[in-house]
Amino acid sequence: MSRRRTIRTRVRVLGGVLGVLFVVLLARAADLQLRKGVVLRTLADQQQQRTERSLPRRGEILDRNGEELAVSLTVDSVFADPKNVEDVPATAKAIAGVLRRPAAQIESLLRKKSRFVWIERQLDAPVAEALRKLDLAGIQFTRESKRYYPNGAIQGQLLGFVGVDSVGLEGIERAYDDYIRSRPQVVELQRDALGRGISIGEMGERLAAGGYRVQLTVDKSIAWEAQRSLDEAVKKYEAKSGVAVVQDVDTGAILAMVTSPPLDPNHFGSQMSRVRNRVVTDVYEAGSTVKPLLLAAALEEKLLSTDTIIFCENGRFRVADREIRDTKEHGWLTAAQVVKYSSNIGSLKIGKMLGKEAWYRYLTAFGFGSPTGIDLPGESGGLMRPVNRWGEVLLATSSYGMGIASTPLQQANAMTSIANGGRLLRPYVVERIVDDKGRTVFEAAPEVRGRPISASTAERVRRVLKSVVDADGTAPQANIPGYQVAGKTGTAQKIDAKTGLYSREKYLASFSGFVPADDPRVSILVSLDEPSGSIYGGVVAAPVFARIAARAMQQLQVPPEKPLLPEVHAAVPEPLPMAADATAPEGIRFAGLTMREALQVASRNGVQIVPHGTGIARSARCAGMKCEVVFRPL
Amino acid sequence: MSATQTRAVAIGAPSRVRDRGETRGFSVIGVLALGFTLFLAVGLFHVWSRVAILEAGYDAVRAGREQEALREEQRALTLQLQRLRDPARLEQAAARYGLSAPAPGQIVRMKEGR
Repeated sequence: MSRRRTIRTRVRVLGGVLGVLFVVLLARAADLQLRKGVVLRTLADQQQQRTERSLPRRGEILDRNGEELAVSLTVDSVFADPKNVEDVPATAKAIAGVLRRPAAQIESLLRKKSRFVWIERQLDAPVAEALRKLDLAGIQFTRESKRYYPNGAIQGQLLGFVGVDSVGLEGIERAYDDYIRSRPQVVELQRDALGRGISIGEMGERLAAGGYRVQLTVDKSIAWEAQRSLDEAVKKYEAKSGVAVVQDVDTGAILAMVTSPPLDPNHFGSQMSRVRNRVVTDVYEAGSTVKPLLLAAALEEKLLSTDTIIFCENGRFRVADREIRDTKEHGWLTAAQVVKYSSNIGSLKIGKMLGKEAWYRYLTAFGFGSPTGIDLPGESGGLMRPVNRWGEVLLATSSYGMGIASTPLQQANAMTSIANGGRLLRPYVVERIVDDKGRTVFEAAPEVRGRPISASTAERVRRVLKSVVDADGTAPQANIPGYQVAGKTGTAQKIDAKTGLYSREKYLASFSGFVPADDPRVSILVSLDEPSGSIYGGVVAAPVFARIAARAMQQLQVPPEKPLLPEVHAAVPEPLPMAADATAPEGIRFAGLTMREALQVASRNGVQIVPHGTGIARSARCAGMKCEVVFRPL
Repeated sequence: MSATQTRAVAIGAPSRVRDRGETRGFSVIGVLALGFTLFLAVGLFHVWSRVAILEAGYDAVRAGREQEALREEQRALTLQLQRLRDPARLEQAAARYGLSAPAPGQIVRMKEGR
């Protein structure tokens, strides 16, 4: 009985103690949560959270085929806290050795009073690694984004470049900076007692967010050919500079836009004189490349036909107080021949027929006097006097491209409108913009700005321009095998800055044309400033046009219009015996042909062939219009 | 008879009181024990879930860093690839083997078979 009571008492005491403890625990929990909760939460947040700022990242710039033209990498930058540098001369000497800079320069940085001094930003990986290995007191590293242009000078002026803070300074980098550059993201991350970060949902994604990807209309391969050909011509003719622009005639998209001397955006700091994209910024008197526009205007107004005879005054003609000359003493020429032989006197007579108001109206309709609207910064609109200030002389000189100034892009765009049947398009260089999630936020669409001439007039002018590259025309060197070329030369006198008069030594040599002439795909303008040796557009610029055009046809997979190689059968001395060839469709024989020849024969006859092996065709087994051809080495 | 009844009551009553008292004593302890057990279980679950969330957080940070490192590596490789595919470099390399870009006439494009 007493034992039971004792147990009961103990149980009650224990229960009471536990109950009291429980109540105390609850009271403490309530105190922490309800009374001190806010203060403690703030203190905890200060301990557990840290602010992280993401690096500004730049999206890639691609060409029309998705090839990267500009890429950003995260690299090291090195800075110093001078107060923590132990031995300034020794530290400066060690750093200078790695960076290959004068030690005195580094030492002056390390002696500054500031607690933060940049030593060098955006180091290449091996240099950063070498510096790290030195393990110098007071020298620290931080990560920054650096822009690389893997193709060097290809499209340098068009792409532009960025500063050390990843801000676009020129070209596409500047014009589309808002899209390409991601804004730095500031997010709060949790951390543990050791300072390790703990991810919380989308914050990590926000930190990783990159800039938008910009895809251009340019083709790296065509642009490279344009740059290379232009650079070689500039060097050969010792020209001051040169430009070339290639445009898709159907859409107005720019396939290449190059300036010589070239700019390598990786090293823009040492090439600041080359930064300007002359295709859109520079204006000059184009010369005879406007004659097709004059002819088009006169044809459109039905003032003449291409066969209308015009007397070209045997090479000399006086307008007011000016004597206008032709390079040759032309007598009577048709309107088509005036363009083909580039007669200034014939042109001014066509201009006179047209009258200044109409000619001014057509020039404006072809885009002269106002920017083309291309999506690039710094475009000039050219220079053209108001028509009420045009006199007899300006009407005459403007008929052969003098007295009015335009950009190379305006000239190319006007020629494009003749190539595409009379549509004046807005040129553009950005095809689409894709955000960091892969969603398209912008897609370019061709834009017709006007219709200066009808399709039939454009067709008639195209026929005339084909004759310019004939053997007796002004630009036979513009021809390329397999394709009919159409175009117009320009050899314009420049104004001598010293005298204010037209120079007899300084010229601008151009060729503006399109290919294939009957179904144009691209329009190309090439222009060289102050060439030496030869000054004529047909000699200096036309060969560059031909090289670019050939590459463009190859790159755009435009099949040749004309036979390119000698007839295949004539090239084969003696067909080899080939019994199985009997199954080939009638008139087709593969025996003894090389693979290229066999492919040509097949292509011409609409036969599909499956080649096996290499060498000379030995046997063929055909089923209908499909043949398997076996090649063996000789 | 009545004494017997009184005794019976006298004997029976304390017994019932004792039984009720014991039952009450155990039920308080039982409730307290149950409460503690529940409290402990909830507490343990809470701690376990917090630890699990923490571990997942560490994993996520590690994975994020790895992803970014891989992206960076991809960008570096892309840069390297584009440098290798630079047309000028390719042409120089091809020239060493006596190769050059084909002229327009050397490219034969096949049409669809009829």
